[in-house]
Amino acid sequence: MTTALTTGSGLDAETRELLAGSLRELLAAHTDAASIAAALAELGWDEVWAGDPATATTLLFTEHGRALATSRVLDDVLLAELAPALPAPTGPRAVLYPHPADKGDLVACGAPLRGLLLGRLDGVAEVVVPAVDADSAVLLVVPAAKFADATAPTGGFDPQSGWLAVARGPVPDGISPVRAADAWTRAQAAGRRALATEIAGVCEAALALATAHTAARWQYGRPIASFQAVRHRLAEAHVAVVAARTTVEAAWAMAGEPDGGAWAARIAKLRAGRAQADVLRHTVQVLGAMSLTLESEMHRFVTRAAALDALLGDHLSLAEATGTELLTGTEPHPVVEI
Amino acid sequence: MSDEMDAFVAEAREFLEANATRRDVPSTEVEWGRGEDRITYFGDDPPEVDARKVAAAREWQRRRYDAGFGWITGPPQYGGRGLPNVADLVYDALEAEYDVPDTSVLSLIGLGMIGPTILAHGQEPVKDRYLPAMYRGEVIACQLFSEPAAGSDLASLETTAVRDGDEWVITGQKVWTSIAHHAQIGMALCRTAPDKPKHKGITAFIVDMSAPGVDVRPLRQMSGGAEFNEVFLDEVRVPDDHRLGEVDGGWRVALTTLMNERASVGGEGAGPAARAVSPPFLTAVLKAHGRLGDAAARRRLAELAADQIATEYLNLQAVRRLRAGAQPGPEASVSKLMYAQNLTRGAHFAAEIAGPRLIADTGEWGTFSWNELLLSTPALRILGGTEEIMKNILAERVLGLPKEPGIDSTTPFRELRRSGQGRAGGKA
Amino acid sequence: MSETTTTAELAELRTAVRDFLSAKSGEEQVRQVMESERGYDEAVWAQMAEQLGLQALALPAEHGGDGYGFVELAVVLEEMGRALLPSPFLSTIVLAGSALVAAGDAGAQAAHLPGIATGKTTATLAVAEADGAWDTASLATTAIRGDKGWTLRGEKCFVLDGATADLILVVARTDEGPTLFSVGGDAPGLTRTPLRTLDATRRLARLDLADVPAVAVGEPGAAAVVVDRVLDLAMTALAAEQVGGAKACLEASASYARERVQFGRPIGSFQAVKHQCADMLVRLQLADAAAREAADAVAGVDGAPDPGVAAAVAHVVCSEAYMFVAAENIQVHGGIGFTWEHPAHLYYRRAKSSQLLFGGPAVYYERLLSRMGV
Repeated sequence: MTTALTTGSGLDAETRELLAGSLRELLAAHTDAASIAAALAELGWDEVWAGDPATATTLLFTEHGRALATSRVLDDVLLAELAPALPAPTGPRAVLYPHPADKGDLVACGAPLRGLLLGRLDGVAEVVVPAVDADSAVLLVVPAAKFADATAPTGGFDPQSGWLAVARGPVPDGISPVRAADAWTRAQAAGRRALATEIAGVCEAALALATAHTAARWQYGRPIASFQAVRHRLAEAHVAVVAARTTVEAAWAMAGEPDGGAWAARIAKLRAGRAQADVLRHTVQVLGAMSLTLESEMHRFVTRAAALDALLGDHLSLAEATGTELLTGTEPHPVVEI
Repeated sequence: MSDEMDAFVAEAREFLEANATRRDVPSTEVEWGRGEDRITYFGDDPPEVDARKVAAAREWQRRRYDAGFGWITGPPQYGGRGLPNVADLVYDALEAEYDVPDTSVLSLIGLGMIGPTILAHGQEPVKDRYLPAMYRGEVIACQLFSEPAAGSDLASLETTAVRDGDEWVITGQKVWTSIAHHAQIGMALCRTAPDKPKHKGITAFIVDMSAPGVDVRPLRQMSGGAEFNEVFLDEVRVPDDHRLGEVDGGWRVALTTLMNERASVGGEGAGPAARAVSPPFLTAVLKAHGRLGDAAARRRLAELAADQIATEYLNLQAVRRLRAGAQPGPEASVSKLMYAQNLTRGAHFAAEIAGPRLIADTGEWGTFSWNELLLSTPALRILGGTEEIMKNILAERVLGLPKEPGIDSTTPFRELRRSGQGRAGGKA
Repeated sequence: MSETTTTAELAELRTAVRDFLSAKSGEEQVRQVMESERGYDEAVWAQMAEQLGLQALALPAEHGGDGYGFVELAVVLEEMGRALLPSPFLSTIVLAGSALVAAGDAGAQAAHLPGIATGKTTATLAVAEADGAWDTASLATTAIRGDKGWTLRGEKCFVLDGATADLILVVARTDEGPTLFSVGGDAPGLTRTPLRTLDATRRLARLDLADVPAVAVGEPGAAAVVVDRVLDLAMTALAAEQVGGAKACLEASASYARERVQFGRPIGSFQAVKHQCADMLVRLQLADAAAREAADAVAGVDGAPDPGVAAAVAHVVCSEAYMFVAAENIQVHGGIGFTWEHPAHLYYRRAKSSQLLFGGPAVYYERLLSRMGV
């Protein structure tokens, strides 16, 4: 279900279908971060991305979400925006994301590091950490070795995410912060667009599972999909996903702005985050008792969608932040011209 | 209250005083940060703990029975005390003041539903053999109703029972059977006449769970627990005197079972899950996260509190009506729907306040533990009758709206279409 | 005070009121009266008193009432809500009547309650000012003590039946604190302006008071407690009305769903409609339970919950439920539900005006929390 993109895509529909198919195969065949990264490199993903970042990101993160894949491809999205502001890397880099529990606050410079990593740091040389120094966002480039004993699996709602939490990490002595507030804003916007897309992918897969189930499962002599209560739930879920996708598309249209389309990206992430709660509620309900079991895949969609929501701003925190800004006089940026 | 009731109360009080300790009066002040912070709707105990709890339940039930409080309203010839229904409510209210083992593993299904069914439809040998034993805590019963292809549409079940002399031979698969791993007997609904329409070809039996051919396997839930089971029945032999009701008259028997869910005073509303989403607890959650002054959060709290308090009022009024001898109305279904809704919304609200702390365990007391509850609340809207079916029932029975048109209630079962494979009537 | 009424007697009362209202205040009559200047039918009001003694029902026996309590009154109010009866009953009996009883001023009670009980005197209570808040702490309307007694100066807004009431009880600020006063409907210096409302079956007015002579009712400074009590009773009374209206909506929806055929079958056989009706039923059951419990609580029935909490819960639950049911009723009726000629919108308007009568959601959630001590 690839949506038509309005960003003057360099890739035609047929190419997009082919790429989507390749990505699906890739993510089925490779299940750990390193081999996914290698396989993408082999596919020539960097060139695809360079030619049309919007389409490439959309395709990759949609399939990533659908496959419930775990990798550090999101790091690449942020690093692409951060790299120009940073000194040359000494090796592969990863990103330390603000800890979801801190609700968008960046760690203070000089304080013990804390945050979330998308996976193990095997083969990673440096970790890029967004931090705050005298009210301004900065970046710290921390050698990966410093995190040696500081990480633990997040556990939480989605233990299969492979994410690692840094609750109280090293204090980065001797590391000069790089002034990079604009770069971080752009990186966060890019990350939010990608995550919103990934959430939509998870939702679409859940919806496909639910739709297939309701068509196959017969009760009272007919497929349960023929009962209005079921059909209408699926329809509501579908509308929620389409709305989320449309908002991300609109966010891409603003990506070229100096701040990277930050406002629109925030709205897109918020929308997707809110949608996943509704969509998964409907899909769980129509799957009936089977959705409660570990045998069924549905619970994995539930937990993954919720975890993705929490990264780079859960929908409630983003809504609160947006509301506060509006109340203190910030002009909303129109996401769509009506 | 009558003299008879007064005497009963005095006797019950004496029994409870001698055999249990009074509960500390629960204060409305929640002690934040103390004690166990796991909250779950399902039990999720390791097997040894589970076994201990079941043993304690049996032991308490035995004491109650021996003192005359095991089957307060049952007929004396089968071990009951023969008192009117109100005595049950009175005893329950008294017992709630004391710290006693949780007997729901015995009473929720066995004593509350299957016991009354055996009483109404069982043959003498089965009544004599099982009723006193059940109410004395010696025999635990489970319900072998649902099947993989027969969930909401229970009447389309496919487990077969074939007559062989004085016995029946049962083959099939049951699912979502709670308590099966502890049960000594099970009430099984079986297909005995596939050439008749689905409701007219079912027979009910009491099955000995230790009989050859009975295989119980646990089902793993997404909330982490395994309270439910699949039960495979492979040519299990059951004597005809274990049949409940008439041959092919099992649907009527099943309806007795399903109608018999005892409305216990505060029953469902008193568990740890319900307490966790009660107004005092949610207020404590707000306070602990510094959100007591947050207008939006307060409003949500007020909405939840209003619904919960009104649901309590609804339950109280239903009990009053029952006590006054009136027929139960739609309150039970409404109450179940509201309970599920209140618990779900309350869990989500608390989770939102606790916030993204859920995603990664920060070790803070009272935050991460909401995960289990959140993952188990969907169950309330599905198990024991999905929300959609409950709404159908309310609309059809109370509002008189017409049923969905369908031919499956007059067509022979064998000719009905089912999931995927065309025609029904074969073995599962 | 009141005798215990049996279930059978309550059922009889309900039937009597329902039959009376069907005959005297059916849909056609409601629509006519709605358009009238007065906003209620004086003849029907008089018949309510003479034939059924409704005004006297819950007023104290020593002042011409029948001494019944809120449980009985709730039955009457529910039927009035079901019929959408346009009448000053809520303002006269519940607001003014309760205020006089709660103020404990024997002289005022003797002066006014008998007239109210016979239906001769209509009355109301004016508390809210421009901001619509039922809050005695921040009043602008002031009472000045002069040689000839008190005079009132200020403005009261959203006064229920304020333009037609014979007697108006006004809460005004004095040096001692908020105080209750009585003012004649035709008093000098009083200007009464009917407000144009969403719900024409419920009349509201603005009162401008320019040195209006007034008589103090009860102790100066004691009105806060009186208003709190009246508010509990008013929310409870309103809850009963709201349940009555919601029941009428649900019955209309169920009936329509059973009869209307589309796609070859009654629309009630489609799950979407069926579940909508079930949702309405669930909300209504909850509202009914809350309204009943509140009535028991304010009537002081043994074992009933705290009246402050029960009344606030009933107000929240019934306001929300009536809005929901009235809206869904329009939905179930499809296109026809949206027309002027169909009664659905009349209930919808009443649901809305009731929801907002004492401040609305902006206020009633906080009020509940405060009653719960949060």
